[in-house]
Amino acid sequence: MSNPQDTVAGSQAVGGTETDDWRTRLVEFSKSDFVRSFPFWFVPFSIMGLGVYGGIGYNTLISLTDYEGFNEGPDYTNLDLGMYVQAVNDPWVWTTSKNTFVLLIVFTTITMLLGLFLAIMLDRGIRYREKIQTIYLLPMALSFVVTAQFWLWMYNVNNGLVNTVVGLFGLGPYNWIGDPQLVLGSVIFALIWQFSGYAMVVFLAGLQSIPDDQFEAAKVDGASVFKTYWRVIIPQLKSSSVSAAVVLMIFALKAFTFLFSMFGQYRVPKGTDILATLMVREAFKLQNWAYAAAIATILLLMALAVIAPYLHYQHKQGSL
Amino acid sequence: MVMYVGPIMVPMPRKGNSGGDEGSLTRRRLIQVGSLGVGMMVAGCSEGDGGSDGGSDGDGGGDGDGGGTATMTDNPMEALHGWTGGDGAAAIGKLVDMWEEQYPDTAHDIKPIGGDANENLNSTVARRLANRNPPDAFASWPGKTMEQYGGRLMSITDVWEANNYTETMHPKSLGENKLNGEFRAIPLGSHRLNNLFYNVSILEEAGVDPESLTSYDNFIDALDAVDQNTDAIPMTITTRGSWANLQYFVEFMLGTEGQEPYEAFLDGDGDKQALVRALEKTQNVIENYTNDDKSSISFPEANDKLINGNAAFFTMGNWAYGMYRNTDNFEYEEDWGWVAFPGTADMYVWHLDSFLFPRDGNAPQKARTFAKFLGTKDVQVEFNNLKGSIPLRTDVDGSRLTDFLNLNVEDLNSLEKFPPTLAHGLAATAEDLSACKDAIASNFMGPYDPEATAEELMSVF
Repeated sequence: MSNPQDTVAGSQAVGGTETDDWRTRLVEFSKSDFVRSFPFWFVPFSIMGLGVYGGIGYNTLISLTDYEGFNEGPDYTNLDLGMYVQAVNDPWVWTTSKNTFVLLIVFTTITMLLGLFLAIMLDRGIRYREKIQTIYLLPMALSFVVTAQFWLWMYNVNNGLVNTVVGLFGLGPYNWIGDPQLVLGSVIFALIWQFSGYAMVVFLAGLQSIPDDQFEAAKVDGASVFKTYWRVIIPQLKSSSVSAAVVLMIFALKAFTFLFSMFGQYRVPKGTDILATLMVREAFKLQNWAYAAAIATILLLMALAVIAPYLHYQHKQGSL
Repeated sequence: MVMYVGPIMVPMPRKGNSGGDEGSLTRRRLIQVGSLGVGMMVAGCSEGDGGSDGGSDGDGGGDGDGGGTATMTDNPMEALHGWTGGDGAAAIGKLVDMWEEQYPDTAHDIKPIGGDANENLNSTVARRLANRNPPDAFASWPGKTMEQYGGRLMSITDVWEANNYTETMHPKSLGENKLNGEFRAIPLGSHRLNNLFYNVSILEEAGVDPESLTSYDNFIDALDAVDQNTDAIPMTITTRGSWANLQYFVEFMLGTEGQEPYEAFLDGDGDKQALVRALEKTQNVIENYTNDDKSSISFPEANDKLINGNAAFFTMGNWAYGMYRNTDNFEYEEDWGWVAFPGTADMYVWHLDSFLFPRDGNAPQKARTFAKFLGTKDVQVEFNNLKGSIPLRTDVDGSRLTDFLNLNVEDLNSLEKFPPTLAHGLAATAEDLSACKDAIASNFMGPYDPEATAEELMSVF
């Protein structure tokens, strides 16, 4: 692609005089890939940059001020880490951080394993494949507002479906929502139900891009089905798992929507209170804007801390 | 298709790349100019963002000044409220109709912000006040809750005085609608909090005389009687949100310890043992006499159990009454009845719904007209009849109200004890209320720990 450009630019340089050197360079620059592609990447880049990185930057800046209430705007002259010190000393931040961490890890891990399992099952060419695929993907299409409400009904201790089912095995009834020990697990389970179909589709796409030869070659070499997947196929799904993991983590952070729909308020039971709900409470109920911004930054760092080792590993492996 | 697309698609990029001929030069220039324009737009936006604090301040000030000289702007009067469904929606719908009838030429934008318990309304208001883009009026709780908006509200004392509302509104409501010595809100209705609703037929079956429900001990006897003599749940409750548990505690506190220890607690001068005793009684009822699914149902779902004949008692602000009225063949004193929460017969636990008026709105004169309108007798009667709350005008003809509301009006005008509600913002600032809910959420939503709850509640005030 760049070859014809170089040729054109070069020929013009030869034709021009020595004093026009800067002009030549400018013309050359204006014809470079950078400038030519500019209109195509700059618009999305600037919108995204402003929205995402601008937002992160502004949020971080606010978190260093003492901004609160309605009457005065943030004062940028006196920046310090006071809000972070306050956050570290706030027991609610610790409780919600712990819950957020558990939610991130457990939800993402189980959803990916389940998605991988389902994808492999489907890829084996089982019967009614398309129908099963649709059934598993369908929950993903539903809004959190809907799924939160019907999981709330299903978790009802008296007439909920979940207790009816575990009752068949002589267990329960459990107070899924009321028991602080169980409520986080209940929420995670509902989220897994909703998103395992998504992980399945991502892995399925990855699996289907792997040529059949490799299965045949493994078979010829005498590898068992399990070994074929473990040694040959799954290692090739790294890029699928990176994208699945990133998206699932984002969904885990978005569990706010699910919790808000389930409990109808920003204040959710302590057992399932996460940093996102705490942040919204501090900001929009109490107008502690700077403190809420500090919590947001902690949430961001936590997400990065969880995903960074994984991304680093994938990068070293060359799949990123 | 493939044959046709192929030859055209492939040369196109090459032509663009060659860059020599004039045709593609103009096209490229066009794109360059266009992208420059977009770039400038983006830059412009970001500058606008950066300068928003200063810029919009100026805007708001300008409009506000315009209003100050008593000239009407062309802007519609924007009022936000949270009544999106049921009685609230019907009541505000009626209010809008009345406004359009009385002020046909005054443009308005009275709109609901949905969500349970005004959650979205409050956050929308907070966002808009912080961004210096306030609505002209919004529904909220006055009293201590209003303090968080201090500095952002305008005085409507002139409206109160010009319309004699200072004389005709309930005297207890005056102070609650003032902030820093000026009226900044106007009350629309009051809900009573200390209610015990009951299902008449279940109480008959259990052999309980509702007149006997005058103390905690009598109440426990009644709950036991329902438990032993009927299949019904003695008391249906919701514990989905910590506000509900906080409210139950306050009811038991007022019913067993009385108004003075409660208000001493709010003043930061409370007796911890009084709180512990009240919390233990609350715990006793919640753990032993209520529905199992309390933590996953909302208050309307809890109230449904009473309506369906599955539960005997229900306590809630009297907004619950709207559900009875909207149920066919479910009549006051035939199917459901009311007594004051045991031990609080001489009290009216006090709650107010008001409209608050921000300064620097877009239509301050229209907002004043709206404030005047909200205080009129007709609006107070019509709105509250549908909403199931009680008008604050003391000069309303009681026959215009439903029987149940009229009974409460009589109490409102004759009782002397008005302990303010804690869970509904009259008695505590937003910050303190949040801390109280934290205390409940940590220690009193199962497992129940009265000692630790009392400790933490005491530290709030």
